[in-house]
Amino acid sequence: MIRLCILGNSHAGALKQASAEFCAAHPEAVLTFFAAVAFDSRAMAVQDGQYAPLNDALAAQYEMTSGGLRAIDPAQYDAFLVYGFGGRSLPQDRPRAYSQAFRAACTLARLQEDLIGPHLQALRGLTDKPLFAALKPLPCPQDGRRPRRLLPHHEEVALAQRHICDPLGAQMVAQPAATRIDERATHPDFASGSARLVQVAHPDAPAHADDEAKHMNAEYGRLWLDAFWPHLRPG
Amino acid sequence: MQARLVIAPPARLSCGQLLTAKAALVPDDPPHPYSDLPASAYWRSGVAAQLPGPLTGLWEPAFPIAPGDGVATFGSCFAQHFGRALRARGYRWVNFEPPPRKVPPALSLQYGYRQFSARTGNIYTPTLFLQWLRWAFDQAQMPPEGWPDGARLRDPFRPRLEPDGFTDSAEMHHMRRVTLRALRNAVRKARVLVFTLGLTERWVDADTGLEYPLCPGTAGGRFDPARHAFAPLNYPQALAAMADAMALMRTENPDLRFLLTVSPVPLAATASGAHVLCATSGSKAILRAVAGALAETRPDTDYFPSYEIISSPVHGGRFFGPDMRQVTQEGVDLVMDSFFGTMATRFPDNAPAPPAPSKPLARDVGCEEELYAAFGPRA
Repeated sequence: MIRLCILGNSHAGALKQASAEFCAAHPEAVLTFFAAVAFDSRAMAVQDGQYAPLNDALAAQYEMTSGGLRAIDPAQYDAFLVYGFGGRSLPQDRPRAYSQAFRAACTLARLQEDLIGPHLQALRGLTDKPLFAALKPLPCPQDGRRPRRLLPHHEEVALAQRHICDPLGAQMVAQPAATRIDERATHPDFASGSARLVQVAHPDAPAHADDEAKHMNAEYGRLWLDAFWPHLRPG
Repeated sequence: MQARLVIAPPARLSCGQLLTAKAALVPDDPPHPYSDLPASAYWRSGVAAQLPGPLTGLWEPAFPIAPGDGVATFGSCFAQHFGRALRARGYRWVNFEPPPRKVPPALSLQYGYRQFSARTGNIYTPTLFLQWLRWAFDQAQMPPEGWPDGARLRDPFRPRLEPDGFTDSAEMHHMRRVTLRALRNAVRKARVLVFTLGLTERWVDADTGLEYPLCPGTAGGRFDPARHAFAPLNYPQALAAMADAMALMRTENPDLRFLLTVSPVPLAATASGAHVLCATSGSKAILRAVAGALAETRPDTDYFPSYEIISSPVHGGRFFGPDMRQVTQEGVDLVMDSFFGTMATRFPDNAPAPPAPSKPLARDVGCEEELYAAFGPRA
């Protein structure tokens, strides 16, 4: 049995949607989600050997997404995945207007302001078990235009690996090639019918709108988990 | 005429004081040019009587700047304060080469963003400004020169802008074209262009005449005495270059107006052979004369006396830091308060909304010429 703790934001909805099917195909897998919208998970701290929310609203989101747990007890898991933080791009990003060095510096600054580092650091302070991290999915093209991005995905992953993960003995996981059009965009098929976090507890709640470009669906989650799982079973 | 004074003044009075004294003592004398001037025209009332407080009435704006008017800023490091102050006080500072959003301001500054309306870096001399403009408007070809720096390349015309230089020649030239496009936009779309004249000392390629913002070898490149020449500007050269630059800009934007200032920041170092204090005086005198001459002769041009506000002996150097070179935040604030206060008083209908609460620190600007000081002996 491999017990994986997934600490994420709304993007973890795709993995959650796919988790039942994935676990059926991988009986050794036990996935536990601690997901909260946007940056709500910034209100966490290490308390009594656990990584715990600092307010009831966040704890309630974790109860909903984990199936009743309010805090992460490292003893209960074999590995940890920090999912969906970092990798932000903005419509105004114009890569052709900046040098490669500046684009990398800007990307790193954005990564360092996100929650990958704080979450990995907190978890590493609690456990020596394997830690993984993945950026939020690349957005899908909108109105036929592919999103702008300061750095290609693989360079951004490498930057996060070098500056954030390596010092903590953690490992970045790239977005599966099968889900990407290229280094900047996810294939639009994977945003169709994407899950909202609220659907974790209320499956009948409406999915994202048809033009959703940032959150991915269950098929994306399945491909992602399939690509990731070998990391937990080396060899 | 002095023999007609009713009461002989003390011998130490100056000529102007003699005339003032005479005007006061002989009220029935026929009027003359010094008998009916405003208080600001007399040192005693315009300066001495206002001390130690800040001097008022130093500037009469030649034209209004409305909050919606696009204002571009270029020049020496002191010009960076203008851009920031314009932004902070609700004016429309135009920036045609901005950094990406959601990037720490310190990082943007480190890479030369948000300093000027295009990422030219500091432009200290009128000739360097003219060189940039000629490239921007296809009157001269952008040179291929790059300075190797390990495996990377520095742009000789803004060697400190990218902390680690560029990947290769293609990237360096591409990024220069990005800046030239931004410079074109700034000239064509601004309503007012603020230019702060900083230096007259400059280094050029003796073969091509190309001017470098910093002496080769100090911030990249390798100094070659056979090729790199010290070519300080004299008054006619500086005046002609500035006039040519303004004429070129007006060709592109006939409505453009100019606000000239002279940086009060002394030279960090001089290659002239003179003492740096004397070289500073000479350089600032030339630049001040150029700015004054252009403002007096061109209706599209104004001069704002930031140089006088900071540097005048009446303030006893109190707006300079301990090294008597760096302008303090108090000094910067005084200059900006004077500028915007006068503008609001003179053109009340154009006053923008109240300023934002935070003000930038005087040291938080990029000043490449300071690099020269690093080559001098330690105190």
